[in-house]
Amino acid sequence: MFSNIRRHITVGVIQDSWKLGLLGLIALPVLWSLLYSLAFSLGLTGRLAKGWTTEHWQRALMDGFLARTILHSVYVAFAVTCVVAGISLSIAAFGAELRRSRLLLIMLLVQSGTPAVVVASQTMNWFASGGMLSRIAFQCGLVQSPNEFPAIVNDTWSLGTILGISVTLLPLATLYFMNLWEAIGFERYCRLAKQLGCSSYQATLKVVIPMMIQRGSSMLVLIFLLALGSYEIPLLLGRQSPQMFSVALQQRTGQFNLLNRPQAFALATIYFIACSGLLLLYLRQRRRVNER
Amino acid sequence: MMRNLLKLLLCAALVSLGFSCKRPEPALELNLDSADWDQISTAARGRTVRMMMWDGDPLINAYMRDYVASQVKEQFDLQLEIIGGQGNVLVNKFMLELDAGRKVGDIDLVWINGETFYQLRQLKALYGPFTDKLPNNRYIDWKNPFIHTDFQQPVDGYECPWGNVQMAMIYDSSRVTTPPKNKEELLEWVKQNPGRFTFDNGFTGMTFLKSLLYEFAGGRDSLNGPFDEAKYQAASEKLWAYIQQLKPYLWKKGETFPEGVAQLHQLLMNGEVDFSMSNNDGEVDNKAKQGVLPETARAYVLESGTIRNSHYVGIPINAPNKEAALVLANFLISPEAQFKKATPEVWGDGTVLALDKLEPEWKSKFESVPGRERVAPRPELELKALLEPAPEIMIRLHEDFRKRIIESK
Amino acid sequence: MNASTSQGSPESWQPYSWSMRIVKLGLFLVFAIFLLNIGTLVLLSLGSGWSYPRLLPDQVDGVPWMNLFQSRSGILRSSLVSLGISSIVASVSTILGLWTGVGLRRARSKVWLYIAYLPFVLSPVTVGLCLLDMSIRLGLASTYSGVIWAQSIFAYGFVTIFFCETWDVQIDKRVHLVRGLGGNSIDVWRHAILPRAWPLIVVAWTQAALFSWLDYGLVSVIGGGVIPSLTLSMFAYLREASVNQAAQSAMILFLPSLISFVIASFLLRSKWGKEV
Repeated sequence: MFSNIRRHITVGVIQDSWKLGLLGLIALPVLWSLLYSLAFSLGLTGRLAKGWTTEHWQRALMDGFLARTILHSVYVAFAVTCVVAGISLSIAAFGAELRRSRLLLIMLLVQSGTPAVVVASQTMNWFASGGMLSRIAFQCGLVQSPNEFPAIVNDTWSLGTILGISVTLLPLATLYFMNLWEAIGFERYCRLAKQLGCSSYQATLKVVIPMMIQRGSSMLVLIFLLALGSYEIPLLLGRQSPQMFSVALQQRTGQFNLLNRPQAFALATIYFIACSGLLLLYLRQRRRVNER
Repeated sequence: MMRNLLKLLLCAALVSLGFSCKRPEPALELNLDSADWDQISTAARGRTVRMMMWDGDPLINAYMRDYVASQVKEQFDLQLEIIGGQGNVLVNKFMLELDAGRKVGDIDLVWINGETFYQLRQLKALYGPFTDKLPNNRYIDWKNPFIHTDFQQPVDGYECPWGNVQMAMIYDSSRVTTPPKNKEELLEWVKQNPGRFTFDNGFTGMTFLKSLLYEFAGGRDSLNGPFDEAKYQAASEKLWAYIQQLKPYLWKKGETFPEGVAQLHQLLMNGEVDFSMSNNDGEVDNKAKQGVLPETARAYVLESGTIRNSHYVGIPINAPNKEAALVLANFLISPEAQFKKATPEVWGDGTVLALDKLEPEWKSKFESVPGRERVAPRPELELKALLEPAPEIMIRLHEDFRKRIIESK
Repeated sequence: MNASTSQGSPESWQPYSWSMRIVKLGLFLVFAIFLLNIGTLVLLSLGSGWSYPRLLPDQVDGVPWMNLFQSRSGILRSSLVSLGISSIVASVSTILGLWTGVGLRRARSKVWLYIAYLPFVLSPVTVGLCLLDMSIRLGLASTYSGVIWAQSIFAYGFVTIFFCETWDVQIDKRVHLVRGLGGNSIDVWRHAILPRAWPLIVVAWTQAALFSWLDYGLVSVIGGGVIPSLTLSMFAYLREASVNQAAQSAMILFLPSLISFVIASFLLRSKWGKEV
């Protein structure tokens, strides 16, 4: 009897050992980071800390830039998610031959192996006022000087930033949705829909794509989070105002005034709480939908 | 095949667990306060010295990796390792290390100046005073106010001067025949040539603003001494009013600024603007040779003056090899190392040595440094040199520039 | 039997012919832009200067590459260090992530999935500074182990989510079959999970390796600049140096990826091109 109990316990420990991984390798460092960030912002730690104070939080929250920066970051992240979702879903759903194309696979894999800062510099090389497109336009007589070329980078609508981040994240989403198509076997749903009287257009757009979005929503959430936290691309291709949150935050930790560092940690803590709260809401909502 | 793949993955995982930590060993304890130079240089022999410095310029990197590294190896049996890092990266690193109680760090020497020095002193993160221990200290021009004072703070031996530069305006002489010499002419020129001028949002741009701030504060020496809030407020109000006048005529209508001077150089090279700037008056020559700036680029300073400052090397309080750091610092201020970097094709950095303290042979070498073609000789520029004001001014300028110019509609 | 073959071969499903033509045309256009992009990088890296409105560098003389080889900047060493670290990070996180992803699918409570997402809601400053503090206290700062540990946090989280969300339901059926035939846990992994999941493993390993290979923030902060990764050598040029040196750095950073991905694409193509 005892050996059976021991065997059950051992099997149980082995089967649940993955939880140790999540706790030890993720939860613990994240919790540490959050607590350190909180302690620093409240003046409880740090070389120049003077003890408990909420002054840094007050200054961080009352600084007018916070609302603008958050709105701008959400706008860019949302735009990137829409662009990436649109293209990757189209490739996965419309391209039976594309899914088997080695050419596409190589391009996706190579692009996914390109660092964000390289994408940023390449975007500058192509789309900046003095970039390749502008030079081609000049040679064709369409513009007379680089200043006449339309602003695509460092522009009001952050088009360059959205383009750069989308290019960086597109391979990840496309590979994911291509794999999802194969794993779920969406063709049978398309054929079923056609057998029930749908046209090919309806089958793809009204049956397959919504199913893929639902099944792939976690990847879209990840894309949104990765876009939100993007740093190098908005730093080089965006404007100083409005800035994306990660750029603004990073610059505040690099400011000359050491006494402003706690404000940056306060903002970092707000960022973490807001994003993790949104994530929690999303996962709960998804579970409710799945249970229905 | 899957079995082999799994075995491979498992092996890799095990290897990672057995990976040994790579940490610099703490040096043998030599009492640096009482040791003489022979003892210090003997203790340093055979050591590896790590220097953290800005590594964004390939010429400076080549000077350090090829010339300095080989010379210190040959002369002192020191192995030099260069680590990239500067400014806030450096400050954050030491801030956290000291807060976490890390008594033995991994960096022996750091390239610093100005606000970085100010912040590291605040954190008590620097070892010193140490410059008196260096034999080549006797050649340093300590009477020069641009050397013995760093952003209005006495150096006090906590950092050793390494080079000396002056902020210069750079323009393309093929497009600009008469560059503006003062702020009034600059405003006039910018209005007549909209979209052809800007400055960066980084260190160089702020140095440009500091130079203008002196004008609004009352001229040369007006901002010397400790930070004065009332004086700053009065001068900065005029500065922001001036910049607001410039703003609609700046590149991209002043709605965005290049993030750093490298981007600004690229705009000049592309012909999007006609001006760039640099903290190093000698940079125009070596950047034109590298193809970063056009061949027709020229540099000058405003009649009202531009900021001149020195850059330094410091030793972190938790440096593991302080003896090796001292030996390296001493070599960096030797006449041969200073002369080597003075030539534009190597770096074009000004020397911190007093020429009248050098041997006649070295004195004449420094007086006839070849290759400076696109900018006036240094003694001419020094007549219009302004001291770096207190570091609080840099801090305030950065914050106020964001609030008053970037975020204003 | 694979679900997609129960209704006929995958090739028989085509939404409509005009979409295929548009998609093919789009693919070739994208490929042309892709090649142009690489071509521009190669050309810029071979020259000095790029004044407006020239399409080619001012002088195509190979100077950046000559300078690189002459300067003994340790590119080879940095590449090997980066390769070693990324291989280890990818291997560790793929093994752990696969194990965790499988476990997560069985778990009732979704709080574990929430934990897997947490690294991606940390802002860069928190990651850099707070993890540095932890690594100093654990004695991992400025060590290879520290860099591997920090990168594995993110790679492991990503791989876990990846396996959990892209799991092939056919694998679950095979697991039931193997268990039904009396197989133990080892048999389940050996005969049901790994044979079917290996393309997912390749993709996950590749993505984790990529993340580590291209990482700059963690290796510079946790590694203290002491760990000589390729990104540390090259990133300063990308932001600060000439457009020619930036192009050279870009090529050095992603050329090895290009080669390894061509190889990986053959592996994946064999999975998606035929039925298993």
